[in-house]
Amino acid sequence: MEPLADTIRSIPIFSGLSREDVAKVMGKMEETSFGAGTTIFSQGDQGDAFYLIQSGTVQVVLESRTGNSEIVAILGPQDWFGEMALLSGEPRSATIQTVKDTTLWRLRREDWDELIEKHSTWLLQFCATLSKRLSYVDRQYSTGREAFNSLAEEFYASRSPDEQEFFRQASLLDTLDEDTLTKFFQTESLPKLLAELGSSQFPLIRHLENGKYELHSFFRDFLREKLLAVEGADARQRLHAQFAENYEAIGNWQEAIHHAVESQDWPTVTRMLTSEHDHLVTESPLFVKNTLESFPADQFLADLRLVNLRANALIQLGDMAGAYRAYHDVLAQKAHGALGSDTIAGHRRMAETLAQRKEYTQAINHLRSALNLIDQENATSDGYPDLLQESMGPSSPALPLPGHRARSRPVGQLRSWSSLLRSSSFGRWFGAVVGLGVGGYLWFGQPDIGLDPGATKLLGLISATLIFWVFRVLPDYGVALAFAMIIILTKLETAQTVMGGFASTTWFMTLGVLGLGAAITGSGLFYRLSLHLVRLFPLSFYWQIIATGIMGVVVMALIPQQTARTVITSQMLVNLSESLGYKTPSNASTGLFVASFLGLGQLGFLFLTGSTTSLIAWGLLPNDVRAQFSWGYWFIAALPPTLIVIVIILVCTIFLYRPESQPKISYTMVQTQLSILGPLSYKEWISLGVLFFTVTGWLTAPYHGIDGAWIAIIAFAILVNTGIVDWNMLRKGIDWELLIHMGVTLSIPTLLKQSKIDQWLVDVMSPLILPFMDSPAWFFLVIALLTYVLKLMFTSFLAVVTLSVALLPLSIDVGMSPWIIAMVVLIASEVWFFPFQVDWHMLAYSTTDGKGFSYPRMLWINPIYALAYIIALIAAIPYWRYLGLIG
Amino acid sequence: MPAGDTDGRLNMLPLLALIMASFLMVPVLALAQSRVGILVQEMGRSQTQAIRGLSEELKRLGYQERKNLFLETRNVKGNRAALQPAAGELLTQRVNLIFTTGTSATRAAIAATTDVPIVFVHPSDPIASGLIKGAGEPTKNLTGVAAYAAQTTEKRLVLFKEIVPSVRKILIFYDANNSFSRENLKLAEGAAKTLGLQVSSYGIKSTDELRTTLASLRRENGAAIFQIADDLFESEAEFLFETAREKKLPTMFNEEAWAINGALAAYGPSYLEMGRQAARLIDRIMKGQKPESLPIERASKFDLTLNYRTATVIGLRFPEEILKKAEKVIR
Repeated sequence: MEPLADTIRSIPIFSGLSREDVAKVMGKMEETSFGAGTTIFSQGDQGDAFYLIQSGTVQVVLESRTGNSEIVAILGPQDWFGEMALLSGEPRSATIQTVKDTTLWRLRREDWDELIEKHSTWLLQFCATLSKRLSYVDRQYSTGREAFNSLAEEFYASRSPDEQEFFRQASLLDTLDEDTLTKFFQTESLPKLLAELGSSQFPLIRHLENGKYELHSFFRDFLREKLLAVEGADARQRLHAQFAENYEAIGNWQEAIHHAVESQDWPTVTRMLTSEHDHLVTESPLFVKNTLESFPADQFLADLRLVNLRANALIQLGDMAGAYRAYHDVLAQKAHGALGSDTIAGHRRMAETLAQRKEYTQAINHLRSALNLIDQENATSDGYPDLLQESMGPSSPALPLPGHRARSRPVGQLRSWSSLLRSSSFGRWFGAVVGLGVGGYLWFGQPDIGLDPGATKLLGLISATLIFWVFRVLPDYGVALAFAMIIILTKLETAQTVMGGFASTTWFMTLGVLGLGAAITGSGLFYRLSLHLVRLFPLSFYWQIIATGIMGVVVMALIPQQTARTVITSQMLVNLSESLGYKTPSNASTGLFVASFLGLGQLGFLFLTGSTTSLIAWGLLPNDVRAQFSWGYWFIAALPPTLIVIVIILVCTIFLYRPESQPKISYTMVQTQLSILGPLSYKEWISLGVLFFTVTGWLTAPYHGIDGAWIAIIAFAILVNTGIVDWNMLRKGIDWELLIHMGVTLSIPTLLKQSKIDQWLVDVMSPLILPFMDSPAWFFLVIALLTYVLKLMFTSFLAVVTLSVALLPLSIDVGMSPWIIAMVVLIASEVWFFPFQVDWHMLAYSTTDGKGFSYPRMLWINPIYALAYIIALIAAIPYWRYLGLIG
Repeated sequence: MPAGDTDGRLNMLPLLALIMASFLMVPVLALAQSRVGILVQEMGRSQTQAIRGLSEELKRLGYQERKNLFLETRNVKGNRAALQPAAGELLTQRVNLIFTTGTSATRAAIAATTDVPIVFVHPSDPIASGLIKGAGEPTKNLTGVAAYAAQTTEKRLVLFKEIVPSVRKILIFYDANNSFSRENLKLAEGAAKTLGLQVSSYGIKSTDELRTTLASLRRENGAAIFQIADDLFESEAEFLFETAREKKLPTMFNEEAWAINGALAAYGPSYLEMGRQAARLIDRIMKGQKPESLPIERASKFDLTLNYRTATVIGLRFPEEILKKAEKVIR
């Protein structure tokens, strides 16, 4: 220890300490080792410790704002770094990376503070030492500055007003080159002058490499002061904004972002950072991190994309703990009052436990899940799934986690299709023009299409509404309300008829079930159930495929919100994949997701309450058919085709997604999470009880005769009155936009019937469908293919509404129950070939930051689904015939 | 006379002949372009089916819509008072013929014209309904197809017994103020007696009374509701179906449309087929035959329609035999 004590005493700030004091300091120092290539801390990090090298070598890397790195020193045994952290805690001025395996002595700032508290005289020693150093530096600095200022003043005064203006404005640029200046200032002579000065060893301008120049820092400060004095602060901000635009135009993103930051144009900074996320995080993580630190706190916190960006930059810099802290801090501020706070709290607890074990990757995953849940609520409450996707998007493309690859190109291309067709400005305008054109033609033109004038008007209005929905011209529920108002105000129908859907049992059923789903999701019961299911089965790939498949099927019965159930389980599946030793994403991890999506997203038709599309289809059925299809009977009738799909998909999943490596057998992940969750909470107990009551009530409906809707509402009332569903959850957890949309949509069949458009539709559709009426198999095939095609443009909800309204009146002539037609449409509407067709899996993808599954691999299963659905439908014909649903 | 003049006269002949022929062709062309007016009180399934049958058959007979056949439809949406003006409107459109369904629309057409031929389809007896005075005294511009529904009462009861073998008593509701309904009741009572069925009849005078009576019905083994043609009773059909489902009472009606709306079973004329029959009458009129020379035809096809949904709700399983007899099963 003797050499160490000497070394410590040779460090300026410790030089005034006695040997005894040094011993006390040594008592607080801890030995810590780092492998080669590890970043000990990064430039800009909060200074929290001092280091002394025991063995090994580190390099001191200085990174310029423009992202260029330079090794400024190599330090070896008995060298030290980070001493200023003990005094000021200021951000680190350089990055320290180990060159080879290195052992360090570390003195934490809090330990140092503790020592100082006990030995206040030490502080005087430090102050004296520091004072000496500062006064020396200051003297040198002042002398140099005076000389430069006088030279700058002389040079500036000798220039013409144009040249003065040019130099003032150019002072805002860090590096200068003739071409860029010529483009920015639209003049050749002034940049040429600067270049000449730079090349002629003029002391105020430095000549850099690659024909670039730099104003001496004193000269730059001088000119900037002049700029402020002559042109004012506003002009400076405008100039920065202009430079940001100019740099963006030539693709110099870092400079563009820097100037946008200087002009405090935060939306532009956000746009540039998110659009250039991939290469900025990979190539200039420090720049990204520093830029984000300059954001106003409220703006930074409000945008999860920025939080993801910062964490990704820190991960890229090797600072996993920093990334964890970044998420943790944001979650602490955002989680308050969030829906599903139990689930979020669960994720947070797990993250904290994992962080204590230094398992930062999993800890970060949990925090991301929690943040995504919060962000999802906010986004869905806006009612724009596309915006939600957009907001989550940048987190997915390029996480620089080890082994992670950037999102594949085809997915990006397909997303842009989606944008163009469904939510782009072009699409909306196109939809508006077509919708108004078609609606106007039928309303005012009154073509003779075999309907009376009122019915023709109504048909025009329905057509326009449908087109507006397809192209998302306006929010769906807004269009629905406008549709209802036009009908009422023009007296096409009575308000009772148009708004009748809001008083229907379907509407109340949906309200109750959405409330129930939100409660179960928020209570954490669903997550716990998922973990238990995984634990129940052996931890082999094949068994876990079955476990995750069953998990999805079980939970979907009561949570019609596909998005909610997918998001919550996604993270667990990533952890499961990692726990089984699979890479994420890999064949195996994608397989686990495919299996879980089977129930979570693809079999919503199995239960009346399995998806909102099932509920709307049920609501569109004639009254007597709806009465016939209770919750239990629906399940019985839908079970056989579902089982066929399950078998086909699970078998194909096992074959298609065979793991690249043998799984490691370990229940640690599941066990850890279950132990963190602890025993069932009060909320979980209540939710479980209500769940049991609801299912029992639905199943026994034929005996007690209480409508399923009222059972759901009773359950909902219990949840509200026991505080499980609070005001916040009521407001955010229930899709009110969907309920408004549904309330109006449910009146459409009555409107069609009263205006006789249903008969007209039969006449129009019959010639197309009649050739296939004799054979249910052909009939199913035609409807399924029609739905597949329609789904390329329509959402599932809209496809189900449109096809049900158009095809249900045919049920009498084809001799089958309207439920069968609705079921064929429901099943077929689950198909998707391209990612843009449905949103729940995209959310699962971004929730797991692209680690859960690979899109190209995920798409393998889609054609199999398309085929499986058709096989299942055809195979179910004898069973449905037995039930008397087909003639 | 110069040869050239002679040649000139000769050359004019084909031109004159062409002009003459054109004048002669005018009525022929007018006849070839048939304009048929369709007058309905309400466009229900029966009317839609009849018009569909009419349209299909006319097409089969060589008429092409919008080429040599123009169909002008007037649907007064249940407003009986609007039938007369609608009929007048069709006449101003210079229709060659008016096709009607039901009593009211046919009456309105008869009142509007004595020249333009009228072809009707009627579910019941056109004499009993007062459309024609008697079989031997046809109105000069009127003919059509009638189903004589009352005559199917016994057949309906026989089928009802086959559908619900346990039926012992039939409940019949009728408008006590309507003599036509009372006649129908007598027919039904007679047929029921023949088949050994008890009859409980309920003479009612208003819809409120009907609703109260229906609501007070008790579920009774072997009881079933049997409908006879009656406007008052039919106006509350939706309520009846709901009540019958609740009380698990089988119901038998006389037209397919009722089974579609919720009756357990219906046996009645095929409106599709009646429409086709009417189309053949129209074709003959268009080809020059006088309506009064065409006797009123009987509906040639009667269909049994069963409602499987209602059967499920009231806990009834249709016998296989009856399912085979059914033209249509509503599932």
